[in-house]
Amino acid sequence: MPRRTLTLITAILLTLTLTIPAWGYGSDSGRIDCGSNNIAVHSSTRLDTYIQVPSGTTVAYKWFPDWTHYTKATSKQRPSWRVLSLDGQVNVAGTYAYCYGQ
Amino acid sequence: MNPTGRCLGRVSIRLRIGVGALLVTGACVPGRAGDTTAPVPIPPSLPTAEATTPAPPPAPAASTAGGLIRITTDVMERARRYGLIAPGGEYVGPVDGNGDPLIFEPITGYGDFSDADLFEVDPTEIVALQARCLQDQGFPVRLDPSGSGFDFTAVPPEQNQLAFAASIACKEGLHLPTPTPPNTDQRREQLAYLTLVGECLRERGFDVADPPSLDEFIELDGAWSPYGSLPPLDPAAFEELDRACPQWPVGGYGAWDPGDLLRPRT
Repeated sequence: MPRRTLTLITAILLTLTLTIPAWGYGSDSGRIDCGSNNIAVHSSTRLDTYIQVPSGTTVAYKWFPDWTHYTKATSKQRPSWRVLSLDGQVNVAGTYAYCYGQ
Repeated sequence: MNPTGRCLGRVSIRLRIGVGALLVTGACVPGRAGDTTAPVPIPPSLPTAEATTPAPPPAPAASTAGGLIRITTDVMERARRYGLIAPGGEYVGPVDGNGDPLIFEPITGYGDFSDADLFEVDPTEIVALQARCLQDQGFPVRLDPSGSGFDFTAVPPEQNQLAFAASIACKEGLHLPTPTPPNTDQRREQLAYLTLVGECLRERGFDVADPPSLDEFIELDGAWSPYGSLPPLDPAAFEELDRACPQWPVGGYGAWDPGDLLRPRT
């Protein structure tokens, strides 16, 4: 294939890649000690969202096309948590875990 | 929706987003020579959903849903396509009893959204289809009262990874289009709706920040919500608030226009 054609194809692919929005993965995680109280996780995310308490164990899923807030109560006291979006994004500033009474 | 035309739909959307993406869609043709997937039994360390859960509810009449078909070769390539590789290269998806990636083929038969405008769809429809897909696989997930999500707490702990993997396969089977930011008109509509949401929250005694200008809202890529002004609430109180002042119009933006009232979720 002529070098000029290859260069053109490369330029087109690069342009297309750069114009595709940088959505497609986000996460936030942490640890919290609630003693005998339960852990709730509040997330600010877009698209698919997996809430995991403890981290790696999925307790809830939600899906919205754009940014929304979501609070998931759990009956877990294990201290690690993770919010994961495979397709979308996680707003770390708006995502946190907290303790609530039973 | 077109449950039968997924491959064509998928190719067309890939063409719209770029030639580079088209290069990785070869697996769309079922049963082709050299297929990287095969129906394989779930490892003994991870019992199948059918083995330890009640029989799944009857499949919907139009369903052509298949079962769980594990990806056994080119696993990391598929993991990348499913978004299971973090930017740092770490695998973040479900694992089997040996700690190996647990990834299934997309489960189809619940609709095809390849040509949908995500901004216009009703999010509760997407979530309900995913939940039904999982329930048909034998996982007892429960829809939230808001319909915006579902929970896994009734899934036996030893099946949690399996359910996580299946939920990804169910989502992939819907062929949701590659997300793009809403356009200016859609952002204007969204900001008008969120302004009503802010008023709704204020009427309930919450101190909510004033909405940004449209330019600021676009600059923020839509990442502003009056819900961001709220303190941590008791989860039940949050759920009640989200019912009275829904963050997303009931029925989606396809069912709401500026000038319409905010409608609480029933």
